[in-house]
Amino acid sequence: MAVRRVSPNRMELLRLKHELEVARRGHRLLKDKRDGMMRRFLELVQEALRLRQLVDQRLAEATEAMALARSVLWPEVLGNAMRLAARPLEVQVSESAIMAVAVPQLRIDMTAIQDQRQTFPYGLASTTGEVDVAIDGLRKALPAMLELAEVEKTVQLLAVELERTRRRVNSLEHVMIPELEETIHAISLKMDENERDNLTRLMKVKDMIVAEAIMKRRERDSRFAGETSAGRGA
Amino acid sequence: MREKTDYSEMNGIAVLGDLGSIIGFRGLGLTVVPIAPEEDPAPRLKELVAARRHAVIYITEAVARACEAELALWQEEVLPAIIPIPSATGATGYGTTSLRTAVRRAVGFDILDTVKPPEK
Repeated sequence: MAVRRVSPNRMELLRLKHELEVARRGHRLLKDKRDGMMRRFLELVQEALRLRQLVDQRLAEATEAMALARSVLWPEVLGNAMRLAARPLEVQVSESAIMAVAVPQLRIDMTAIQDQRQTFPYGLASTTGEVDVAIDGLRKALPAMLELAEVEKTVQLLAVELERTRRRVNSLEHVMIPELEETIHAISLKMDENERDNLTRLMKVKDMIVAEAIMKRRERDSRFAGETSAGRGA
Repeated sequence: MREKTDYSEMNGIAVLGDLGSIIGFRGLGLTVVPIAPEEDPAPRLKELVAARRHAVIYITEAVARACEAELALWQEEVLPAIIPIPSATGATGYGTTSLRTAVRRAVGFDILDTVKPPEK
């Protein structure tokens, strides 16, 4: 792992230690977020699979009925009947949040569909009972379809956020934190080395000073010894 | 916190696909956009999304297969939800493909091979 190129001094060391602490805290938080999201995500995936099965089944039934209707009616008649169709179906959309991820919530006014159940929204004169059956089948499929839309969209959005979170957690865990740790280690090594440098330098200087002092004393002593011996001889 | 987007205008449901598969939805008040057999559905889908009038757009599996690049584009948008549905020829299992892609994205690998849908 690369060690950052910073000047090895106390300021940098403090700064990096602080940064490491922040990175560790962020890592812990993101990991919790990832785990929480993953739990919800897997639940939702199960739900989506269940709904998908339901929708596939109900639509298959409706399609069968529609095929029957198409076989007994002219396509134009069918098309025209459908064109006269009901007022547009409206969904109420609101936004909620799962772990701070915005997800849509979709509701349809079920009573609007129930009302339509009584009054088929097309000319009964030109169509046959098969059409009614087919439309009824689709009507049954619709709530499940809407729920599927909501759940699948939520799954997609969560997947995107989860991927992002997972990458962040990984890059913190495997890149940023080790890099910071190594840089801090390298700086403390360098500072220790400097400390030892300084110490040996001081010891050396002290040695030199002491040596000089010894030399001076010896010189003085020998001069003193010379003077006394000269005096004795005189 | 991000501003909440106003979705009050996006209250419709649209269905995109071959006419035979989707004509019935017109009877329920959904917007039906038929695609001719040789037509490229991508521009139609783009138009629908750009109009921002539909909260949900159902597309048949065939359309979904032809528009994969576009679908990836709108995956991060909260709405519209673009959801593949089986066409009149029956489900081809494409519906779970998008789910699998999402799972692979989130988890890092496909875990749906081992996770079976709950028995009914």
